[in-house]
Amino acid sequence: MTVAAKPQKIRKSSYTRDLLERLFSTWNARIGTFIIVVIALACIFADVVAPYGYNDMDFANMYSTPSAQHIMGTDNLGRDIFSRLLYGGRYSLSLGLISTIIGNLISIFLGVLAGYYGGKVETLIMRFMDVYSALPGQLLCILVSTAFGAGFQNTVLALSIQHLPGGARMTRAQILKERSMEYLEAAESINCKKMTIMFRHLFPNVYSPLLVGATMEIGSNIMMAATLSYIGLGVQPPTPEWGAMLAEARAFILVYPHMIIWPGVFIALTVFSLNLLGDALRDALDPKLRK
Amino acid sequence: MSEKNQTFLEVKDLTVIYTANKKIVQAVNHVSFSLKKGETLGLVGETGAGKTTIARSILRILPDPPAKMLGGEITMDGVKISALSEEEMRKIRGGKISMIFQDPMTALNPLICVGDQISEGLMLHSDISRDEARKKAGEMLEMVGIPASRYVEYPFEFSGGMKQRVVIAMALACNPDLLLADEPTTALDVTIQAQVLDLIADLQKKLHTSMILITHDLGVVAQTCDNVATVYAGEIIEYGTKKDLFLNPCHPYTVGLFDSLPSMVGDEERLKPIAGLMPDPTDLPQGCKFNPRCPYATEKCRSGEVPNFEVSDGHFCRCWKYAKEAI
Amino acid sequence: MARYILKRLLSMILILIAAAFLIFTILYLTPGEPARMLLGGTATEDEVRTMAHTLGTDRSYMEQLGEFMINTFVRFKFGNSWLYKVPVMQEMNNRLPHTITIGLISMILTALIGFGLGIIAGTHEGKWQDSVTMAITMLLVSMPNFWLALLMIILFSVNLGWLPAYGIDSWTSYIMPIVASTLGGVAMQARQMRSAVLDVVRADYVTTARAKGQTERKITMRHILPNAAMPAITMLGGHLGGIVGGSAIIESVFSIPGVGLYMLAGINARDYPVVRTCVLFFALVSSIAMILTDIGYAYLDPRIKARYTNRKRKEEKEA
Repeated sequence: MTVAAKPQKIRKSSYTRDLLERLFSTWNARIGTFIIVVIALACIFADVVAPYGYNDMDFANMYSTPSAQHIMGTDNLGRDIFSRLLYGGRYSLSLGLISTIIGNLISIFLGVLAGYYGGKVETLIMRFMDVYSALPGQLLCILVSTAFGAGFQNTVLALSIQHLPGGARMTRAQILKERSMEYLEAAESINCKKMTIMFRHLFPNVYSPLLVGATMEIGSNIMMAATLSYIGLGVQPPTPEWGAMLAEARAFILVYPHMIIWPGVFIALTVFSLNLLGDALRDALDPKLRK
Repeated sequence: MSEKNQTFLEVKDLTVIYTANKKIVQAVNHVSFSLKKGETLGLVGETGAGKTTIARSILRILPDPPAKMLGGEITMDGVKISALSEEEMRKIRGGKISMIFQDPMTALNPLICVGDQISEGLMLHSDISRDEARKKAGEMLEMVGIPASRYVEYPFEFSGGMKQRVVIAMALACNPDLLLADEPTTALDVTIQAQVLDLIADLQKKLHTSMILITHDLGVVAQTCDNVATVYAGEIIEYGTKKDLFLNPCHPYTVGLFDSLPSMVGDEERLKPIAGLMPDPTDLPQGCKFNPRCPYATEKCRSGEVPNFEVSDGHFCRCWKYAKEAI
Repeated sequence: MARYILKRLLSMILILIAAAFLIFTILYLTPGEPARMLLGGTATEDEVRTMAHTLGTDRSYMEQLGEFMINTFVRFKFGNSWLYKVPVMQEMNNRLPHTITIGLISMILTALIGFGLGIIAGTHEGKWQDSVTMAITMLLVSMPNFWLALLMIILFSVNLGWLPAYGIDSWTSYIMPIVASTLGGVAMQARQMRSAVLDVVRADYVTTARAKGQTERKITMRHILPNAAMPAITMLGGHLGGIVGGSAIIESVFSIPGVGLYMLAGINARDYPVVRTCVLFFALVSSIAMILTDIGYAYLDPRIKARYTNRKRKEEKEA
């Protein structure tokens, strides 16, 4: 019978497709992807989608509650909240995305270094991470962004180093787990270069938990960015970043609560969809559940 | 013990299915067998044939869902245990029937010291104080060759073979009438396998326990069993005494099992593996489940259930090859 | 066990020293001269120099760091506020009760409710208890806690008028801050506990226990929960740290005169002694929370237990 030979061939060429198929067979992944794609597209094409400019003030319609003209109402300067949210999403989403990428690149690099080389390099890196994590993450983020100062780029930096110790430790732990596996000995025995082994053989085997972590980190970085802006350390008003909009709206909470509600809904929806996606991704990548 | 010849355990028409991803896996199909007091029955077959499911359904510890016992009657010592309430069954588990699990590495709770894990069962099934249970558990440890002073140690402080001894001590602590040993030696080194088997056999003799031994290792069967049943795709396809099966294997599958063993005598140079793979349990072949792999398969084998034919006294085989003798 | 706790306490001192070093360095690297910020834009060059000399900020990094470390860890002196010239500790004493009340209750609630919900969801996999818990916690982990706090103000203070929106007047003032700082951690803890329970439910030793004839209730209490709690406890430390780290934001939303708000004010005014002391306080609280979770873990983990206590028991047994 030809049964034995066939499945192997299929498997080898389509790991990614197989993964995506498994991922999108769940409703979590479908809903998560749908929401995040809609929000991202709406923000990217805000020039087209948004009914008003982010700074168009309509003094005849200040503080107006949601209506046909302004579907989410207007703020204290008569600016359309929906339009501001779409333009602001550009800041919020890119803050989350860029800081996650930068943060993960650094932490993965440190983690791989520590995990693979061991010895003094490892001790040095891990002790540095210990010192680094002596303060709770949020607190450290507040302090670092104080030191860097406000503004988009500085906020990206402050956010990106927030998860360093966690990411580096996780990478290292994964590497240590894989390092004892025999396929590495095999690679060493055919005289592969150390760097080749590290990034070609070792890393692909440890990336899955990191990928899940990174997906969720985008969400938590968006939340932290909003938090920083809210206490006046991140992106500053009148930039329509979601947290900055909340900071502006805070003064009117007693009279015009609609100004508070919508930016938060956008943050929550975005983070929610990323969490759904991350959860589904974890399940899809779990070899125990694969079959 | 004069009722030695009486049937002690009777399994009739046992049928179990699993549901996974809306597919139905027929794990056990109409399995019937019986066991006498003090005897050992070996269930032999490949991984995935349904041996463990048979044992677990006797004890009624199959996870439901996904497993579901569709039919069958299990009678032990005159009591229909398949009809007992959950509460009544709970008192039988670990008391009258106990089980040795396949993997000693995971069968013990890592957070509880081994002694307490043994006395846990003792206190459930006999009316004794904590101290007495501890003493008895210590004795059980000594019986399987572990110093009682190691009572307070945790599973991680034991080697694999030692852990399996603990699991055996745990299973035998309440003097069970029936012991279900699910591949008790598979996870162990060859040298320790023999020790563990001897230990089980000794204790079984001492306590006069009946046993169902599940294994895929015919060597183990030769060492310990009285009767043997070959299990294939959830069915018992051949049943007989150890002598019957070893000297006169009838079903082509059983024959294949023996052929795939290295033999010490004779001049055969190559082992003959059984061609093909186990059938997909969600999509079993019509007729004889073995027909796609069977060198003797005929049209007859591809349709309709194969009845059980008696080859010789007490030696049954589910294969049309033996039809003439039966009719 | 006492030896283990002692060891953890020693490591806590190291953590605090690391935290002190970290906060000092971050503030040192912060651009802008504190003396000038304190004096305002109208101050002359001379005035700034004199001020910097009084504050000691004109000295080298090592000198300043050394003095700060010795003052903090040897003399237990935290200095005066640069802005208000009063001892920082005096102000801290007024503020600590608010922050500690909110933090402590939040931590206890996070641990209890988080574990409880996780257990309920995990032991009822696929049933409504599970679905409801998972849906609500998924929503909660997706909301920034300050926004949740703002929503609560809108609902309970503005619309319903049940609870005060600002400051601390009576015990009712604590309700919303506590809930706001608890929910996120509870949700995360519940989700992690649930997946830990699901991992353990299928473990072989649970089947073993069932085969022994153990009751389902006891199986859950004795075999499933302790094993599931192990990974969940390691996460708990982080969530408790999150409550500490987030308290500044919660205090800012509810205008609570606590340590967190004091720290934010200190940051804005470049009042470094205030910032340093507040941050050290937060580091202390979070490392105490970490140690408590570590001890909880050690209490369950047989490896640690065996290393620190078993020997004694075994010797007794042999004697």
